[in-house]
Amino acid sequence: MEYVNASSVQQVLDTLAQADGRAVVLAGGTDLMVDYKAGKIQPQMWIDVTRVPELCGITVKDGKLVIGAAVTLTTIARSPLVRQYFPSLAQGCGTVGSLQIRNSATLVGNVVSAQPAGDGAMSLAPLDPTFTVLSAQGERQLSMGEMYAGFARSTIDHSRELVTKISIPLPQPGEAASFVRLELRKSLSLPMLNCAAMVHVEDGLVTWARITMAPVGVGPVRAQAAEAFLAGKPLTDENMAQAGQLALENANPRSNPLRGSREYRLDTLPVIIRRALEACRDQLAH
Amino acid sequence: MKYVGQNIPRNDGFDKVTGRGLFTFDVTLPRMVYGKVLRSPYAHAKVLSIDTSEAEALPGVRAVCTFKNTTNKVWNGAAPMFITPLPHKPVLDQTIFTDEPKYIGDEVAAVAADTEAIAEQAVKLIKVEWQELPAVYDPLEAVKPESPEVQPKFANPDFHNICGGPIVLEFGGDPTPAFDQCDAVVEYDVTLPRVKQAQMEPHGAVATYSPDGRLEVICTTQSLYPTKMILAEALDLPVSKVTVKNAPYVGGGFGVRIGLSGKAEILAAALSMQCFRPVKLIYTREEDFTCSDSRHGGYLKCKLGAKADGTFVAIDTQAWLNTGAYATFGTDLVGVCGACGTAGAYAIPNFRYTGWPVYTNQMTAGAMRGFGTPQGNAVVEPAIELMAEKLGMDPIELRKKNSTREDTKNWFPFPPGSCGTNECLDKAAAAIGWYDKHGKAGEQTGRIRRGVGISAGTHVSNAAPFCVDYNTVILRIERDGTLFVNSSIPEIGPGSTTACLQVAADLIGVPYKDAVMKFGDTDAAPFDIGSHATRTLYTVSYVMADAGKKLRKDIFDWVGPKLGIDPENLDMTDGIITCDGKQVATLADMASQAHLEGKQFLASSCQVPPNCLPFYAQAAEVEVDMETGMVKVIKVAAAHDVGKAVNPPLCRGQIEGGVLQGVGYAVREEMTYVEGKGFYNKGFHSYMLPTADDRPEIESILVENPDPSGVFGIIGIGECGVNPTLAAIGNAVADATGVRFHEFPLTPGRVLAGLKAAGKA
Repeated sequence: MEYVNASSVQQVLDTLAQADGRAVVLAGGTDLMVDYKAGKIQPQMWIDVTRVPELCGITVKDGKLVIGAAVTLTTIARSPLVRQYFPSLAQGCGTVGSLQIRNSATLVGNVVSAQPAGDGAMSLAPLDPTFTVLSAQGERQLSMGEMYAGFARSTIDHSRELVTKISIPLPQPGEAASFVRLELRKSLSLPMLNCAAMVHVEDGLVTWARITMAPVGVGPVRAQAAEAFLAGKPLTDENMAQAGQLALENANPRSNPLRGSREYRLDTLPVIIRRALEACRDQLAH
Repeated sequence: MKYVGQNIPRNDGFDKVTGRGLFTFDVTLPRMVYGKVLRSPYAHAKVLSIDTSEAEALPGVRAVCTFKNTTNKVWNGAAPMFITPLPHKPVLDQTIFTDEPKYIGDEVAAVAADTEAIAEQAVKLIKVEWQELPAVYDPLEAVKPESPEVQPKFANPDFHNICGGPIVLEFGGDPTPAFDQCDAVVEYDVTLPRVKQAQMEPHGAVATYSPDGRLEVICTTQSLYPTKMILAEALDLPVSKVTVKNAPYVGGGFGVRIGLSGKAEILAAALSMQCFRPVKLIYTREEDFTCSDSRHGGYLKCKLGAKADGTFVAIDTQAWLNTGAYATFGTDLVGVCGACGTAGAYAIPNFRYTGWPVYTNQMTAGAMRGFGTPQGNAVVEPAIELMAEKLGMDPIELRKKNSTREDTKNWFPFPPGSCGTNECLDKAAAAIGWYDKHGKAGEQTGRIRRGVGISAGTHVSNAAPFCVDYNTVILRIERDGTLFVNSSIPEIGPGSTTACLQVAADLIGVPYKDAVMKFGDTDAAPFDIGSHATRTLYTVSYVMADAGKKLRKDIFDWVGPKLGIDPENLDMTDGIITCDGKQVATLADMASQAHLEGKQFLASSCQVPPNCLPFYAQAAEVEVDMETGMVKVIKVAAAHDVGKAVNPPLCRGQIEGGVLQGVGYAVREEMTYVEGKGFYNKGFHSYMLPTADDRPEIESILVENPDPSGVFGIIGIGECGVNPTLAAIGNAVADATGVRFHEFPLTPGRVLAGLKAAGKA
């Protein structure tokens, strides 16, 4: 077992290329170490990217909020920039696991581990983020939806590729985002359901809405029927309730012995979607 | 009293805060090897054949044990094996290993090897041919005559799958005709979950069997002497040659290890007897969660009758509790459920309780903080609430009218002691804002509704005379006048050794500073039953009072002649010896002088302590989200009559810890059984124990009515915090929503389904 404490993106890419699939990119390690101990992954080399300067830091550049891949969830949750532009992202990132986990875990990791209901990933999902991915083959730009290959499966091959940053367009006037979590416990537990929303409202009418929800499929699932319904309509109580109901059209939740039956999840998904929309409306009213 | 009542920092604080305090997990001995267990994957099966040859051949393996090479004696891994008073007999139904596993996780074989990894590998190399047999999981199914027999050899032959026997308590008159004389009769039934103790330190033991036939076990038990006796009996060793000790600290107990810790001690010992090496066996959290006693879940129903003025006339309660595959505390606990959970708190002249401890093919249920009382409380207190509704009375007034008083005719074989129920009810009600908040369900229309609820009750301060339950202490004064106390109680976390020394210092009249207690070791002192039944401080104090009196006499009888003063006229406080209020000597000087003349001040006592009832009331305020079924506990006001708080922060700690366990029990925690797979909850990630973030405001209210039986008025507190919490929260949810729930915990799914069924969501 080798451990490489990388100091540049180039070093990470070179090392990955040399290892030819036998190395794995390691950031917070809060999922990978659990998988490793459980025998689910057996890399021959860990490439620690947490001290790579290009992957650290949160900045605003060219109208986008840019979050480095090695930035921890705690840093995001406490970042004045994130809190200014995307309070719901700070909220979602501040909810994952526990404080100890968030001090180490990263938002990119929360996406790449590809659990459907990761709270950081969920709060990010409706914000239209772009992921920059580097490998020996060059650079790719992926959208949120393109990051997920299946249940707990990412399209990122962490033995050959490196996610370097997340870029999120800054919110424009008339835009607001929210995150809602239905939880059995405030720390150290996956939610029963979570969802997030972002809307753009002009002259009292929704121009577009992006609504994501989980665990109702692979990754944060877009509530497309609800989104389409809201376009061109005002955020009235009735419309928001109707959007909540329409979210069911894109949701296929399973029963979990602990985190809620399918029936319960179907009952409450419309409620939390409506509440996410209400939170957007309330922000826009202020 | 110079020390009793003071906020003295706990004496194990430095050890624990700096991480230097040793727990069983920390113990490493020369030549030590590691144990791992082969557990049954079936809820009921027969082992047709078992082949350990490959495991034995694996390099690094030192011992392999099965039912073939260990004793087949039957025993009970919990304390009742040696503390059941005659003429009762404990149920003995366990063996070290079994060839007919009765639950998923039952022990079939174990391996000791140079590393844990080798031991794990060796366990996988044991070849077993299983024949799966029919199983039964639910107590109401298991009592049906056609259901599979769980313990055909040891169950009560007259009652299908009943462990020990039905517990029938009849105190006073017959409720059946008495109900006809009542103006109002209500009935309530409830289904309760199994919950787990979730103590911080998993079960573990390091056992060393020496060629001279001595066995020393360092382990996590909370009752050292019963464990010593069980090990000696089960392993066919002389009791004198078995030593059981803690490391010395134990990371919590909550009843789960009154006796063996799971089976850690006996498995480690059996392996050590094969290889003559120290064997360390630490349960994984999954083993702890799925292979050691839980709280009893089950079904209870209660019928309560009263006069129009609210006077209780009759009560009849039945309980079917799931005791799982083996007895441990099954029979005893089902008795306490009736005795303390449904009787004791109120004066009810016509009383009956019938409890059925039911064997099933699940993990065993046994002792957990409250020991049946929370289950009884959970069915009686909502019934009282229904009675208050029916009679149009305030629930607090109804309880106060019927609460046990000092002169109440009581079935307990000891006086109830000081009775602070009404003061507790009033203080809890005031702290929660009862009269402003109660009964507002009809006025609320929003998504979020608020309500308050209350519950009162009692328990015990000791297990005598229901158990063989006594203590021994040895007190001595060292050469410099400092106090050394020997006792075999454990320190499982509540701060017992700190509080006991505060009491000792005042009883004897010596400084607390530098007083030391040797604890957690059967070689430290003769018999003590251990920490259970809310008893440690209450009972050790009682026996120390006797020993302390003797010690003072020993000191004064020697000092008096030296000073030319009649020993009768001597007194001592804080190490200063006085006559008529004037200092005549210091204990330090006298002890030093005595030493030079070949004398040490010394006294001991072995006694059966008394018992008394601890009364309490808790009020809860909750918020219910009518759209999601989410119940949020806002506040619990917990008023407990503790007699005298020896160390108020430690006393509050006991109450608050208990309340938080009760909050989890009421709204989140449950062990969920998946047929064919066993319990779903294999660790903290899948078991919704509240975290610090989930903690509601807890206001602990210390009511201090000195008890006549307790030293300095002390009443037991240990278990009480958890006992009434679930019922208080259930009553508050009913107050908020107008819906009375019959199944706990009140998880969002259950609550939403109930609200929908009632047309409220």
